[in-house]
Amino acid sequence: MSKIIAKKICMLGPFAVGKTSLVRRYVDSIFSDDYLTTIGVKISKKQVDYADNTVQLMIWDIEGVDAFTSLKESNLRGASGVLLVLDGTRPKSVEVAREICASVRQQIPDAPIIGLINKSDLEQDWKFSKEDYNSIEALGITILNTSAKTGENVENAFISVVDKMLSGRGISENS
Amino acid sequence: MSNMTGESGAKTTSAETGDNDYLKLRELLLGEDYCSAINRYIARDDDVERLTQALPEALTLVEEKKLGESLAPIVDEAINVSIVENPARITDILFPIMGPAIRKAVATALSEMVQSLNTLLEQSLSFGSLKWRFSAWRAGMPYAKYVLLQTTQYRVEQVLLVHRETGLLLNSVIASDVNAQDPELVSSMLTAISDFVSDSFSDGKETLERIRFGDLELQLLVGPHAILAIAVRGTASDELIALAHQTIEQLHADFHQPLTDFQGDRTDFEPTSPLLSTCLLTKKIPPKPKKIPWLALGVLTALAVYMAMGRYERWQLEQSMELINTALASENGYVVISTAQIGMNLNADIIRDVNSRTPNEFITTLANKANIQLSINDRIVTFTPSKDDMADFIEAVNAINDTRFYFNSNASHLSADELNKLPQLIHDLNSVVSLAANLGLSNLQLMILGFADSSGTDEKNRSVSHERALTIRSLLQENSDSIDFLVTWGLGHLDGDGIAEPLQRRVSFQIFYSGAPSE
Repeated sequence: MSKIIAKKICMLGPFAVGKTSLVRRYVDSIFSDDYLTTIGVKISKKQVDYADNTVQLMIWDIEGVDAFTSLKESNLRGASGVLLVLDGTRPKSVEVAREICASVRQQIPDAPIIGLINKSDLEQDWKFSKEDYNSIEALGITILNTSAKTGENVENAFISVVDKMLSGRGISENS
Repeated sequence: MSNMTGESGAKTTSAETGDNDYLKLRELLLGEDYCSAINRYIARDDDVERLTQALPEALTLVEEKKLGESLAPIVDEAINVSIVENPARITDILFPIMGPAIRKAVATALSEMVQSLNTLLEQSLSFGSLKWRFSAWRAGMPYAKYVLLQTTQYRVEQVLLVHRETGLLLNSVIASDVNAQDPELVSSMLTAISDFVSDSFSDGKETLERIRFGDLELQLLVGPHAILAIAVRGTASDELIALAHQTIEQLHADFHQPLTDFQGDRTDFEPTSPLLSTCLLTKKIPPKPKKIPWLALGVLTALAVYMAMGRYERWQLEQSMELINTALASENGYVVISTAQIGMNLNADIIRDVNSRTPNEFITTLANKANIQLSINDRIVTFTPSKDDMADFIEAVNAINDTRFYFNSNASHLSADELNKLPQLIHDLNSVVSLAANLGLSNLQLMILGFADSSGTDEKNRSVSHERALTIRSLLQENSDSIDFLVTWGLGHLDGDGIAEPLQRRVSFQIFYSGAPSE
């Protein structure tokens, strides 16, 4: 029997890496170059079919994290999956990503994390060094190169987080 | 860039360089471009003029929305600058707009106030208000609070059951004809806001319980696993809050397992719908067409009836009194002196013959016939006639005539015992004087007769007896002014041997008067 399963997922990452743009591309199929910083949290909804079921994703697009603002733990509460977004043109985002990753693993250890190196349309400008790639790999998370502008891998990113969430527990337990 | 440097260098280094050199340098650097640049500069004035002419036409051709968008920031800035530079002008401009707007707002507020005053007045003089007062008293709350509770209108528009940890919607119910936002998004956003407020102001210890914007109120009832969010249009009553508390408790009791094990499958929570629907309360005071102030009407009617009854009673009373008056006046042996009505009582002063009928005898039957409640205070005053003045007079005269003063042998003065008889004699004499005056008697005279015993010569005896009479006369004259009709006579020894000697030495009296009292 087909049923609707609601899941909360969080978009995390440093400032201006394109979290909101990725959500807009995914949910509304829109991209805009205008940058508007997210304050607090913005929530969107998207339904995806997975196996025989429909998954209703409640996507919490959480404001960017940097040295001055820390991740609010209450926002992560109850999340089933996390999309950790990095900016290929900003190597420093790797460091922030590592901290976020540690924080997420501590609070919601069961939630899968998918790393997204965004702005793949600007790949020629990417400034990641080999060490940066190594540290990303060291996080032990699935990495995808995405572009909110072109839409590259955006759908895949969300599908893969759903896949990891449900293949892990939800579906197997319920079905 | 390099041209500019060259030019400024030339200016500063050699001030004395001739104009020719300068012109040559300029020609070398700019050549023909220079002339055309000059010409272009001159032609700019023409451009401005042309633009001025073309601009209005061009503006009409531009798409309205686009023009608005592009002009908006400029206009904003212009207004801003204008206000900063000259606030007085903007005040002058706004004055005629603000005036009516404020007046309108005030008028609306006043009319609302009048409306509520109306309601209050209506309520204060109606049966409803009494009922409310009674109910308030029974509920043990102040009347004002009860009135507020009764007049508060609200409608629960939406009830959301939200999973506390994930912020995911578990179930929701919505009132009919309500345009509500996507409940899933609302519930997530509510959780986010609640978390934000909680983190910001209470370090996550307290939870957000109420959000109010405009006339919409969100009541958040936080349980251990779920949050019940109730969107209320108006002001939620205590009754509703209590119900909501019960509901969230009931939900935790009935759905404890599904709540703790929630993995995103909402089907487990579909049975919560009936419970959630109980919270979809609506409290509306139906518009009453026109309230009839029953209480006021009742009071007025009662007053009118009371007055009419009073009037009828008074009329009836007057009729009854008239009847009694006539009866009293026409009764044989009755003389009505005065009648006065005092309140419900008729006071009639009547003199009646002792042999006539008592008022009870005939008035009671009259009253029974006329259906009058009657109580008669019949007081019979008996006039007992006082003693006849004449009898008094004779009695006093007899008393005087019977009075005797006794003397010792050969003495003409009175002993102490005999003197005691004097006051009674004076009293009797005064009575005789006044009664005689009343009775019209004249020639009143008191004969004082002195007597002596047998011892001594006749001469001596007459002298002693006369002295005795004189003694009494002088005593009487000393003690009373009104007694001036005295005649003394010494009779000497007259008594026979049958009378004891001491009794022979005496003074006795005899009253004389003439004229008889008229019957």
